[in-house]
Amino acid sequence: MQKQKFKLNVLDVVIVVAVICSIAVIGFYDYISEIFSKPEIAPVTAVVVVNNDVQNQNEKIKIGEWIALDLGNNIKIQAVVVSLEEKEGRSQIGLSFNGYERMGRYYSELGVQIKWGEFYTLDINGELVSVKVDNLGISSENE
Amino acid sequence: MSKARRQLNKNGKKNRLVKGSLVLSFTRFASSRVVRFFESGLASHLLKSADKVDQFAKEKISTPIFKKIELRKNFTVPMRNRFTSFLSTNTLYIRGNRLIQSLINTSLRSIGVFLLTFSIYSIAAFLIRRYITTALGEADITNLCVSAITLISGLLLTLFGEKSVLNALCSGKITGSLLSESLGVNDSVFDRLSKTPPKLSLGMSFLIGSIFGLLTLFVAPSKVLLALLSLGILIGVFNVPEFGLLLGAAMVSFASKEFIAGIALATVVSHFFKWLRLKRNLRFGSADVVMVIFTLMMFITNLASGQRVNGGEFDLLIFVLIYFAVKNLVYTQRLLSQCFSALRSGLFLGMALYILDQFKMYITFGQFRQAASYMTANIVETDILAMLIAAVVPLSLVSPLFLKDKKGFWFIVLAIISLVITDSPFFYFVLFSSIFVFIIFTYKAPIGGFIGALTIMTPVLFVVYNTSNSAEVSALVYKAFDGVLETQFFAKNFWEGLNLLSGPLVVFVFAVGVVILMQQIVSVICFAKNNSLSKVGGAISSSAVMTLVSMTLFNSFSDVRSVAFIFFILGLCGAVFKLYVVSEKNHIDASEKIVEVDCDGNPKEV
Repeated sequence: MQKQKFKLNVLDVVIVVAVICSIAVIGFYDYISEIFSKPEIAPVTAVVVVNNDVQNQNEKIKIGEWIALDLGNNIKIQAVVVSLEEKEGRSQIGLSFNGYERMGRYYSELGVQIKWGEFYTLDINGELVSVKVDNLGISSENE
Repeated sequence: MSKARRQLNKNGKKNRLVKGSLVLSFTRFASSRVVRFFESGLASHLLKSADKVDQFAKEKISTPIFKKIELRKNFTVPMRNRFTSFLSTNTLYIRGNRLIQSLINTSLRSIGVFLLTFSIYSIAAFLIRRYITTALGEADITNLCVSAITLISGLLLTLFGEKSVLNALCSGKITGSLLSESLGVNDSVFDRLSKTPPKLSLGMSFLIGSIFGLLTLFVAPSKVLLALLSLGILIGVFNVPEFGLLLGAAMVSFASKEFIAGIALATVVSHFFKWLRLKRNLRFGSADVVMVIFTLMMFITNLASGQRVNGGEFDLLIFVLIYFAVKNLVYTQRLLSQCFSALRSGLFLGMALYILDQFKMYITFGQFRQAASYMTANIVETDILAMLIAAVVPLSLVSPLFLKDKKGFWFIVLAIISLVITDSPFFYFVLFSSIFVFIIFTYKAPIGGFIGALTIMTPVLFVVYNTSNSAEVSALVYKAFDGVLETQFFAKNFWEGLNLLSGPLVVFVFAVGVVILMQQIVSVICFAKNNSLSKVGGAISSSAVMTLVSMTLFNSFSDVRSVAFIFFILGLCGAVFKLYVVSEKNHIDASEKIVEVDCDGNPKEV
């Protein structure tokens, strides 16, 4: 007995593809929604560690002071100092600025990504200091 | 040894075992005696008179009335002829018809271009809403997802869609099997158009795609697509009323009552227009006349009474009219088989959704749980599901036996899974009663059926369901399906409901109609010379009996869709009787054909 060939025509393929796509959409709806929805601007907290901490920077700045964070490509954002700590002989500065989180990544209000472990320049009273991002998060309370 | 031979031996062994069994041979003998006694007795005369009742009604009642009011037989034919000739010259109708013909003969590539254009516009509409604050409101991500799926589908169709729409629909594995096996679309439609090459109209597709695409600025693309699909279904129903009939029957357990009522109304109207155009019949036998009286009385009394049906009087009227559509549209054994298939496949899906409905609370993934809730939003209640299953089980059992359709097995498996989930004695009662009623009617084995029912059903009903042991057994099920068993089986039955709605006189008229229909269907089982028709009649009558039992046990008016189902099954009874009358007539004609006449005009046997 000859075995009948199982052949789908293009309409069948379209139906199957549409069903698979629908299931995928249902499964990844949250992610898709996060990608395409308008970002909610919230205060992003970044803890930066001063690189080559020759002199303690904590004495030069105060909590609540606004300082500029250079993200490269001539993009600077204003951040407020929210904490000052010293860890293993290096200054840790907690900064807060307006931005948003998407898929576990943090962006400034202008849409520039701020990456973990990346080096940025901080303008502390006219002195340019290289800092490394140590921690990122969304602040729970509006400041 | 070949596989076929091994199977043959296995079957032979089974048959020998059955034939050798003393108990089975005794029940067989007793059953055949009972059937013979029944067939030669008074009841037999009553059953044999089923077609004579029609004849009597025709000769003694309808013909004198027609004569008195000076109406001749087939008095509607001239009027219908006039209507047909009017349509054949009507420009609007001709253009509409030509448009439909060209739509189904258009190539899939055109549809693909339409979908592509539509999706590009709808994505653009999404982006406008996403990035520009307008009065149109916020962009919905679902719209984007629908547009993306449409884009992919459109792309596939544009790249590979060489066939025409109808060709692709009929030759497809999924759509083709659905349309021709379950939804009553037969080859005649396909043959009419398959020879003409598919038309490609890219410009028009682009234009229509742009228009509908722009619409997505105001309406969600899913709604636009759904409206287009509904329009397609409507065109399909108006071209092939059987399609609407079977689509409604298939979706009765899980589609909303508005959808079912809409499809039923389209089917009834389509059938009426087909009748006006001399393409379908609309004949009234004795049972049908009673049903017409019942329909009119019910409608008038419903409008007059203060009682309100859950679904409205108009829904109810449309569902009652389904009876006439089924009776007249199902005119071949193939259509009958398609009816069975539609009911079985539809209810299979209904049961699967019912099971999903019970399990959805355990779906941990939120989106899938929401999708499950959306899909099961219109699923019927447990009691109505039990009623539908009980009526469809015989049709599902007869399909592999006599209609060479082997998909009935999975239906029974899913029905048993549903039974286990509900863990309801009443579900169990109707499901297994249905199987034994099927045995009694289809195999003409009353004794075997009763003994089987007593030996299998009684212990389970009275021992398993009534002991504490059963409570322990089902405790897990109770835990898992908390709240599922809240059924109202003995709340109020169909007859009480009808009495409340329309009064005792209407109940009486309906009962008379049902009795005539049952007489007709049982006469098919007893006297049909065509064995397969007799067995199919057996299945339909057991289905009707189970429907009547369910109508007496459950309140069908709680879900007006079950009323549509009841009248569908009653219509099938009438359709099978009509098939029987035609087949008997053909049988007589065939036997007359082999009688030759000699030169003197006397018949001589060949």
